[in-house]
Amino acid sequence: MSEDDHDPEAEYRALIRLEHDRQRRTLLAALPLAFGAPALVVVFGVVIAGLAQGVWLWVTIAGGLVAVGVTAWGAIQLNAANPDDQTLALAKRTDWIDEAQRARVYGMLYTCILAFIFIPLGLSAAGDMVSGEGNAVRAPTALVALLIPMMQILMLTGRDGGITKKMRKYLDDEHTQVLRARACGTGLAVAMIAAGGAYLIGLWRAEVAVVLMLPVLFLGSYAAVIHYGLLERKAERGG
Amino acid sequence: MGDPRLASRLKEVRTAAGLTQVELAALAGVSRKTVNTVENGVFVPSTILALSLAKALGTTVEELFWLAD
Repeated sequence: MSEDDHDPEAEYRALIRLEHDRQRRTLLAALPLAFGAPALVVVFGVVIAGLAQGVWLWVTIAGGLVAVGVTAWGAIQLNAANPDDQTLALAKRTDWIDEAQRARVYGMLYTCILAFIFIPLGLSAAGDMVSGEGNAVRAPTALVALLIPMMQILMLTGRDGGITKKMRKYLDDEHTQVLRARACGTGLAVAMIAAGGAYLIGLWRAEVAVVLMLPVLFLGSYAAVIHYGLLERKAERGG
Repeated sequence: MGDPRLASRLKEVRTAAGLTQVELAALAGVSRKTVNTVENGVFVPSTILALSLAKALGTTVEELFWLAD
């Protein structure tokens, strides 16, 4: 389509029509990914750290298998929600500010992939340390894992460095700030609930509560980043 | 983010001016999705953004936005 016969109204209606089904699929994928993926990380960490033993180990493993299934189903739904060529062609009309903001969202989502590696390792290291088996190798692992949720929140709130003042102005426009506030609210709510659970467990086994602080922080930052990504995706489509 | 009290004719004025969302966004110095969400009533613009959009379209804020009854 040339710029001369470009019809914004028809294009907009076509985009909405094309994306309607994909929005539904994305929402379907969001729930299992939001719960399944972090549950998988926590289960993996709990098993590696040896926090569950006996029958509880098998219960934890069974829970992990359920989390694998739920996460896989969410991933299949998300893959099915990928935009087609026509939608991608329409998306290319967006300007560079949109491109920069989109790249930033992808950057945040990539940290979630890092989390799937470092959070279980960090949980394992933290488990060793609270049980008195920590050493010079395990301690840095526990600290590096702590940096993942910190980094996610810094990126989400626009407090990470390496960006010029002008670029910051465009990346942190008022629409982004509104989405950011909503996402941070979600992250805070999730972190509060998770911290409450860790506190209750801590009444029974204080050392486990200390180890659980890492997944508590991760769940909060993960929820905030995923919610922000979904809000950005929705805003791209005018919702 | 949206507010049912805010009515807008941003979309009508933009199309009447022969501008795409991308072009208006570039003129106002915001992202396309900002224009998109303001047009769809899911994002209430600040005073500064409303003034920027009005300036880019060569009109006034009152012509673009008003309080719905």
